[in-house]
Amino acid sequence: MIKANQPDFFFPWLERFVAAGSPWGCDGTTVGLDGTLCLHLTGAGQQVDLMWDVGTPREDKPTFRGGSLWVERASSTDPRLGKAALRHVAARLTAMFHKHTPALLTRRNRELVDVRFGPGLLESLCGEILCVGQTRRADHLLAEATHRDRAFELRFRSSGSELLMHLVPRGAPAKGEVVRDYGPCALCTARMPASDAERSILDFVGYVLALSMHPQMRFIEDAAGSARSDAGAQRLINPFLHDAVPADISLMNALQGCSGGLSMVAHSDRECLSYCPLMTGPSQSLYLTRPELRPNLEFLRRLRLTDLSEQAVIMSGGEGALASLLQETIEQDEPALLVAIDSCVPRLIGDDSVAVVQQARREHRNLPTINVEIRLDEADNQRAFWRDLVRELSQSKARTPGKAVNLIGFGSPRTRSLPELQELLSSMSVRTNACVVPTFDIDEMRRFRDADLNLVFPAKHVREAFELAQPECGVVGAEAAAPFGLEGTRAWLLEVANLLAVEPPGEPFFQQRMSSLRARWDALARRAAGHRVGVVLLDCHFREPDCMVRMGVPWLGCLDEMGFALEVMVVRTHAHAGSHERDFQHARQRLGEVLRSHSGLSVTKVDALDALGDLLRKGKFELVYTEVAQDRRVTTAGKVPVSPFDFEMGFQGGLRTLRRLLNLAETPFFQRYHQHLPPADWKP
Amino acid sequence: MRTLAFYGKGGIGKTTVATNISVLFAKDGRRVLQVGCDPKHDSSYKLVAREQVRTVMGLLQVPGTQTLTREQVVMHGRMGVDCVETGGPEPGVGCAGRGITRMFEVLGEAKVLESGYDVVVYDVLGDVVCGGFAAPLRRGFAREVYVVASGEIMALYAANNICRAIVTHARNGVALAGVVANLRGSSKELATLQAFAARIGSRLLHPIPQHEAVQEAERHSRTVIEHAPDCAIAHDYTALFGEIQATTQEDCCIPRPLEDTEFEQFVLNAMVA
Ligand SMILES: Nc1ncnc2c1ncn2[C@@H]1O[C@H](COP(=O)(O)OP(=O)(O)OP(=O)(O)O)[C@@H](O)[C@H]1O
Ligand SMILES: [Mg+2]
Repeated sequence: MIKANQPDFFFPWLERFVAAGSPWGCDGTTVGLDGTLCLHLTGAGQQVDLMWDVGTPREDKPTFRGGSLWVERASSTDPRLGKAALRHVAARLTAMFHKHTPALLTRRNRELVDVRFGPGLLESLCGEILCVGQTRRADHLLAEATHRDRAFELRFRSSGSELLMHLVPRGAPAKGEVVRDYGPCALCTARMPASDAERSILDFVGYVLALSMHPQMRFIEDAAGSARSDAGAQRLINPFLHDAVPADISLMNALQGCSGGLSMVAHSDRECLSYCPLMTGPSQSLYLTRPELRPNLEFLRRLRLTDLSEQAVIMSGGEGALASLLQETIEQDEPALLVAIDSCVPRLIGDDSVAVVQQARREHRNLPTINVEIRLDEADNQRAFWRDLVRELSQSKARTPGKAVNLIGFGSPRTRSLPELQELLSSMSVRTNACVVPTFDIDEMRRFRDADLNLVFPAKHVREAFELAQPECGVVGAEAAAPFGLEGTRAWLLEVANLLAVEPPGEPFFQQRMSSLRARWDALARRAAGHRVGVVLLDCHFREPDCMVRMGVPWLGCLDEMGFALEVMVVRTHAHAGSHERDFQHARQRLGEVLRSHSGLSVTKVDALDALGDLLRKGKFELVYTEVAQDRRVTTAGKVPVSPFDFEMGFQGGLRTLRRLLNLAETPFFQRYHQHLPPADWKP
Repeated sequence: MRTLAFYGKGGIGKTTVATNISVLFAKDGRRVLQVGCDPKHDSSYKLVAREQVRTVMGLLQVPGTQTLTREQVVMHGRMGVDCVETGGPEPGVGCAGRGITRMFEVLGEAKVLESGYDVVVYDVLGDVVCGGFAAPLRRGFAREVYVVASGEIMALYAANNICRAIVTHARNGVALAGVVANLRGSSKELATLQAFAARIGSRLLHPIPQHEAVQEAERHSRTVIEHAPDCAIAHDYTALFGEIQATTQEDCCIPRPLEDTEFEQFVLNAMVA
């Protein structure tokens, strides 16, 4: 079994994260013997191999996060290609590893100087990464690790072959060929690897050891020496399978994504703030239709902290500190919007932050100010925040002639599919007045009332975020099925036209739009017809009125439209054990109604979750959508999980989605690596 | 090392009783430390000259202070009593409760409690309003709690509440060692206190009557034991001290505080009887 900090656990996410929602595809990641990772990128018909030495900055290469990142190979001689790839990957890696630099990328054991060269060596150096009887590479198992004859033997065995490696301390005679010299010791093999599988073992072991040793390390033979294992397993969340409200609809992300003259004052200390993941970590959600949000210098520059010390907490409280910080911020930044954020400790000791902020407001009457009260049991009051934002910033002015909408929850300026939606709207002479949630723009908020309609993205989390604000808006709110897929986008446009009472675009308009797209779509759809998607749904699911939509995304209809054949598994839930059969029939019926290509549809009844693993393994599909939260059966069965986060809005977005899903279906990552993953019942 | 804590309603006479008891322990040849757990830092008032009082919170306020030493924290008071004052914020700001917790951390860091004291007396502020004021009841600090009360309803009410805190902290080995009567001279006061002590399963210790010598001594910033060792009230303190000195494990109990309705009933009965 591979433990939480086993490198393989991260690779799927690494590749997908690098590629997701970008013009770059990532065809794979190879670990090098010397502690490097090679990322194979494709984009615009070109190929680029990037090397990342995660631990050592190389003199002649661009430094990156304590190591180096450089272009190793590029199919074009144009230096711009390599640079673009480099920029893209660096940005993605920074976002991904902002906080949780996983084991595969961290040089370990820096604090370890004297290491006993004895039976516990592997444990001391590699913790849980190389475990006898547990670590597997391809069909080989690490069967033995023994300290013998002044060397350390590692034996990987499969049914047909054995690869023997030796770790030899400095000064001791080499055993066979030296593959790599780490300084304190060298890795030797009795014979060179004879197959790809063996080569990958050697690479893997070499890589793990490279990260585990440093030149100052000394091996002490059987004398006193400390042997410590670095077993701090790191918790990772599979970002594609979380069922909670997407974290991107949050106050902090709104503030991080805000454009315009925002200043923030947090009545909080640095420690407290650094525990607030939304403030300091990358956005947890990879929702492709939303912006990537992560703390940037700009955000930190806009944020000031009272940063109370314990002594200040005891002796004076923080009202004075808050008042002077507000004053200083207003004077120095001259902000267009001031947001004051409270935190737990000042509240516990009874600081009246509200009164302090109100005082500042009285002194600066024209400055829009929002006071964000933090309660101990709530991360932030983001719901009231949208209301306050509308209240503070929106001004009633004479309406601009012509129809206009505010798009609520469709994304922010950086959302890739948004420009297309705006362009589609403008083709029916509808102006997009503002795009808010998850982020906002101060100028847009000012003219917020200059619209005829608040079009709210039809998902619970958006609806909830904006609910309180709606009565403040002075603009009617409405929802329409979101523009996903070709049909969906078309229907959305017609519905918006209807809501706004404007002339809907006619058939020629759609014909013309589709003509540029049709050929590519059809070619991809033909490829999609060769693939099946496994869909795991709970029987109780079909009782919900909008069961075919998740987070506003009609993923099931979209998959159908793309031409994927669907293999639906309806799992019986405990709560509704008695009515499983009825639910199942109901599910069949609903699916029949919704999907047009019934030919490729099969619906199976699954009586227990335990049976699901088998079905997934045997199923002739590559992609799996599952409603069983955090279910690792999918990846351990060698299948690729897909989720609503993989879908993009609009015609072009639909095309990109289709291409992405095909790429996922045709990337054999999980088929190849699933046996290295911990079993399905493993919990981080 | 014996560790005593005096709790009771605000202004009931805790500091006066605690200080006299500390002095008597010292006169008996014991090494005594009195710890004032009150932001108004008046515990050592009768032992250390005003201008020489240093509070832990005050010392921590000095810019650049990281740790404090025993020498900085402990003041050597008159009559051989060592004193520590917590200090704390001005009324109405900050968090005095957290300050008391912090002071206990400092006692630990400066190893004050490990310097060979025979007796440590904690003089705590009025009501146990939050966790910080119960800090002396945490593991390793006070084990014997003396509740100072008079026959007045609110004094008994506070005493009852303190008993609840003792129950909460009983897991730390804290127990009620007795009720100290600091009499106000109301009618049937002694009987009421006696009944109360019995109700909660404890005992009433030698009562201290009101006496002008206490305030006379206070005007000279002294304890009565120092200022007027021969007056009647000094003998009462000595008698109380005798009982406290003789207190053993058997005299201490986990109290049975009254429920609110029981308490009301008790008060009614006490008035009628
Ligand atoms: N037996 C007594 N006779 C006369 N005066 C007394 C007696 N006991 C206490 N006093 C007076 O009552 C006042 C309050 O006493 P003391 O400061 O000891 O109370 P306390 O319980 O420590 O108060 P706090 O809760 O504010 O700390 C003091 O002025 C003190 O001199
Ligand atoms: Mg007092």
